[in-house]
Amino acid sequence: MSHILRKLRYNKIFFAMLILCAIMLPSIIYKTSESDRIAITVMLAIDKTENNEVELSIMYLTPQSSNDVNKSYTIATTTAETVENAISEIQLLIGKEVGLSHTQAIIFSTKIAEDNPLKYFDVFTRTNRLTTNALIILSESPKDLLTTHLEQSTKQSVSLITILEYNRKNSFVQNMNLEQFYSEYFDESGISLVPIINVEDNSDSSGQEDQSGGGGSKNSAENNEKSANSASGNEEQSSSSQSKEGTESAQGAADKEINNTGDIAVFEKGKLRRIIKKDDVSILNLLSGETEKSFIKIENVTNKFIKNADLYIGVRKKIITTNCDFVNGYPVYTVNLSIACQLNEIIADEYTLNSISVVDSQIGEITKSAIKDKIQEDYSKLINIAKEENIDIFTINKNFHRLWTKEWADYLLQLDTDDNFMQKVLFLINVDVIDNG
Amino acid sequence: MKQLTSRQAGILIFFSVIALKAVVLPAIIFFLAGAGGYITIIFSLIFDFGLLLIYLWVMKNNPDKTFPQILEDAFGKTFSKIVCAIVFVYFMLKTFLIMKSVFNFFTKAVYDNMDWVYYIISTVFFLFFAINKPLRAFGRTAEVIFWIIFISINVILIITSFTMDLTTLLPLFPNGSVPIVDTGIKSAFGFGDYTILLFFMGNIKWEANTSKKIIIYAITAIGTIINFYIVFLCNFGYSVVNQNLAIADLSLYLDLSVTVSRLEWIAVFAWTMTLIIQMIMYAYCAKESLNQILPKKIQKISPFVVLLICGGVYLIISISIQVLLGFIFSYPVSIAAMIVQVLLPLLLAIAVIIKKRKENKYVSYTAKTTI
Repeated sequence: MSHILRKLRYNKIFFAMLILCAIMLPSIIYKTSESDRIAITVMLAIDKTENNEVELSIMYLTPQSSNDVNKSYTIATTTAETVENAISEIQLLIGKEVGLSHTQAIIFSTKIAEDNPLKYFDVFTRTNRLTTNALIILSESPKDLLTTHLEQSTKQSVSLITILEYNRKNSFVQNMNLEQFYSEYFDESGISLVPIINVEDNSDSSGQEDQSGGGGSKNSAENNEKSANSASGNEEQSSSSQSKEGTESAQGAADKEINNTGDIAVFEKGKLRRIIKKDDVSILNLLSGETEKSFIKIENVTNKFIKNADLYIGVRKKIITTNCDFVNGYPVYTVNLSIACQLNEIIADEYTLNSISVVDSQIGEITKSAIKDKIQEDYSKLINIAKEENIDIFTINKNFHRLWTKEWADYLLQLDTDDNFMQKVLFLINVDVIDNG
Repeated sequence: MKQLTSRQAGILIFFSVIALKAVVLPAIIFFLAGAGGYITIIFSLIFDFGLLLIYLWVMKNNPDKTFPQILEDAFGKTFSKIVCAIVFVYFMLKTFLIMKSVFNFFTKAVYDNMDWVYYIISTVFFLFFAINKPLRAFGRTAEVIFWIIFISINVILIITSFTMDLTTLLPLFPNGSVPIVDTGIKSAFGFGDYTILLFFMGNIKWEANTSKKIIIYAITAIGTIINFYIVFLCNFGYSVVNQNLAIADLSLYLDLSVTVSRLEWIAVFAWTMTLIIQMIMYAYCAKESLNQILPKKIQKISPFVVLLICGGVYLIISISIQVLLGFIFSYPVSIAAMIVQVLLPLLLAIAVIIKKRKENKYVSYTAKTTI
């Protein structure tokens, strides 16, 4: 040991390090653990009350010695004029700073969506503490979704995180993060697709109310009232509550389940335009390069081994290319889709041996034709919705502006108003179905 | 004894090019130039590369002379000292900017908050220790960490390239060429990366392929930065203006599973070493230029002066990064920076030409006299 110290005596780097540590020591020696000071928020729920105030709920980590990690989460709710005020109120309530670095999702309500979500997200874009990839989710009752997620997590049941993981690659809807929402808001089309995840009430008594956004707020107010009576501070103006796991919010959540319907909300320039149901969304996801699994249902198919059967076809692989062209001054948007399919399920009144044969029960020409027709039908249906409501779901404005800038500008000049650009766009789809294998 | 090998010089040039360009500069450039900001970067880097070639030509013709000696031979001692004074101011400003950028990085990406006073004191002390080391120490350190940094940056770029939307690059010149040129001028201070070659002059073991090696490293750095800006824009789209920590934001943008640890942080921290090395380089250059102005007897105080100014200014004046950037990217400072960045290599080239002509005249006079 002494010879090491003798060597170090002549080592300038060693002394430099010592002095550096000595300089930093006063600033860190009495520093408390960040988890004592910061409420590590994993999810946020934002809603709008009947008084046009913001109701903010956070699910944050409260370290406890427990075998169950989910017992360490707590939900705190408060109401204030703006999101920033609500965050300050919650900090006062829980005695910690709200730490957003681990926030996985921000859930907002339909009321917020119908107002202008950007007003409520603005505080998050200005803080560097929120992770860049925090997901945003639309829900009729964000706080109920949060409490149900917490309750189901404790039961090791389906939780929101599990659903979001599944959505990532396999589902009807794709995840949308806050940065993408802003990026799409500012691009030429301004279209964002936000997944909708609701809460289904399984109990008899509070059946329909909880489904609506108004019911959601009412529940929050009830929870606020109950816990405000038990907690300190019964002020009427600031209705804040901290619901711990095991109290009335968990009891209410026990009758509820998370319901991933597969619906999506279409936002244009930050405003909610339409909610598209799962059946119409399936074609969007088939045409998305990011979803790995899709399926197609075709009805009343008759071929050599089945009669009037419904077939469920799984899409195993797909190659999608899109072309934007101008033909005679009019925009043509073409989707070229090649899919490798396999037959997943047959629903029929009668089954033949061939229908379950490994060799024979493959996708034949009749089925391929039916698949193509079905895809074209769904595509046309979605385009009609887009044209009727003037929603640029396929980001036509963005694609043509970037690829055919001059021609697109000339085309827009021809129109009565720029908003009607969808009407004269020709949408085509070419489908090539490859059998499995 | 020469302090740097060609490889070490090339690596230091690489770090110099990439250091500050992946922090807040992307957001500023895209805000000023719009989606065509990547064109600004391309043109600015190419322009800078032209200046590099001039520096290399000067160094090739005078491998053993430092830049004050070259200027002194052609223009005299006073002129040389005036130029050194201007270079001193230039590198002091660069040091201010990079110190603030490092602090900004740690407070935005790493710590919830960091005490500014302790940061300044510890940074000044660290810089004092570092800038008293010879150039050889920087070269060796750069050699050791080069591959870590190079691989880290490219890992981030490769991973995030899968989520790019290349159509964001179109149309070219979306708002015309004026914003692009204007941004190039305003962001001049963020470039001029090869000015550190002034202090490599006379210190590189000049070989036949030294120029080639340095050019290869420079081109690699240019390619990396252009790639970075393209990937950055194509991932964030128009919300790129909101990302004030480009490299960290880019890597965290990926919508990866929450059950997977964020391994990109390793890459981000590795890249941070570039910032630290560049901070040392700028402070070293400021110290060396001050050494040229001061008499030899008191040259020992130059590190103290440099760091006293850095620490003193920051401790007395509380400047936010926005104010500092507003100052640095203003027209007067940008134009002054451009003049320094362009004039310096040109002056050196002129000095070399003048010196050569003098030598030729002397040779022909001597030949005539002999005959």
